Amino acid sequence: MHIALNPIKKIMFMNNSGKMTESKNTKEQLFKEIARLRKKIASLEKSETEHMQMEEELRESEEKFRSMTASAKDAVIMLDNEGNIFYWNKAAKKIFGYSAREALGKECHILLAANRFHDDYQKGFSQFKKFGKGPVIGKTLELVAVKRDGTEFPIELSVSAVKLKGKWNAIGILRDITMRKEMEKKLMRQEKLAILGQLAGGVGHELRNPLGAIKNAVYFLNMALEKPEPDVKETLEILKTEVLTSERIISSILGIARPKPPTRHKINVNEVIDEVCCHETLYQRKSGW
Amino acid sequence: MLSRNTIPEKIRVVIQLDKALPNIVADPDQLSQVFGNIVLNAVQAMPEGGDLVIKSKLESPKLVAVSLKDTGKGISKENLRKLFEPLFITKAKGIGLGLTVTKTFVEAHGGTIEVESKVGKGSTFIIKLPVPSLHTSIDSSP
Repeated sequence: MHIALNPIKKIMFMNNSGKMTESKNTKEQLFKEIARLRKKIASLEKSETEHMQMEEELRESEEKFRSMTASAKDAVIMLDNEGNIFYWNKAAKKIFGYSAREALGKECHILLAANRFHDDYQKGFSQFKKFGKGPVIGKTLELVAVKRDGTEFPIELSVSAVKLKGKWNAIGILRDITMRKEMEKKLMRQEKLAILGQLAGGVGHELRNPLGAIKNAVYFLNMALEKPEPDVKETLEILKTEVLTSERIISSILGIARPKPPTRHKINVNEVIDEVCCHETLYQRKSGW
Repeated sequence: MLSRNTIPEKIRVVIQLDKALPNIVADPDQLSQVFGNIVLNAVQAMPEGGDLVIKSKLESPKLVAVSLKDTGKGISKENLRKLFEPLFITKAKGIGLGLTVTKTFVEAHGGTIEVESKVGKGSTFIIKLPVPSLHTSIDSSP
């Protein structure tokens, strides 16, 4: 600490004989100077407590930052101007599998980005290094990252630039979006299926009428041909059974794609079973059972 | 309904119906699809022949139960879980909607469908349908 003393003129002087004499104004000046020094010291003491307060606040904000990033679900990674990792939070460890000790000081993209993205990263980062700008800064991107065990997984990354001591540093916040991607895929599949279902329903509905016509035609042929040749008879049988198979498929499709509430009839389940099992279309047995 | 599935001679069909079964309120077309699909699956599960036993009974005063038991190849645990999923199929023929639509129809009637199966032994489908209370209204149309 340096406190400049104002020069106090004529405080005392020595006469020729070596005797010290007090100057006229000296006392007054001295008091003034003391008062000034007292003030100065007081202000210094004040700034000292202010300084301590600031340090305390800094510690607090650091603590806040630490606990925030430590409890965050998202990985928080900071890179210096060379692209080396200098901050690595707990979530980063959990997501990538590298401990802070393993990650700190490593070049970020080599450690975490898939090989095929290294060139892009290099280009982007050289721009960032100088200007604090780049293709990823200030945006949220979906990228592919690599875990410690080599598995690739999708991430959502947002990067911001911060100037520290005159150099650009980067803060990356990222999350593992494997689950979200899977959900998206599932949803897309469901949407596709819904559209296909609608289409199938429409097609099924439209096929019903021509199928009915074919069925009637087969019935007519059966009636018209009194004594058909065996191979003709067999062909008619094939027609009949395949029409019925088609009807069943269409009924299933429509039951799913265009479900109708059941009609309300008073029926006996035994009769339905009987019809299903003993109906001619089902059995067509040559002999009884 | 079942057409081509002319039940082969190799399959013995046993039908045991409870003559005292009360009427229920239901859609006859949907119900015949329900039983038809299960019978068809049972037949296809027994290419070498076997027994198909269909029983109806009054499970409780409010529940009619129909069981359809085959002695076919059975369904693995893995497949049992996916059995009613649309487009799930283990056969070479068909599109995998039969049991999905079956379940949909049973549930639309307020009923339930259960399956028990052992690989190599066969499968049993049990369908339970509610008996309406006396005052349930019924459509007069046929």
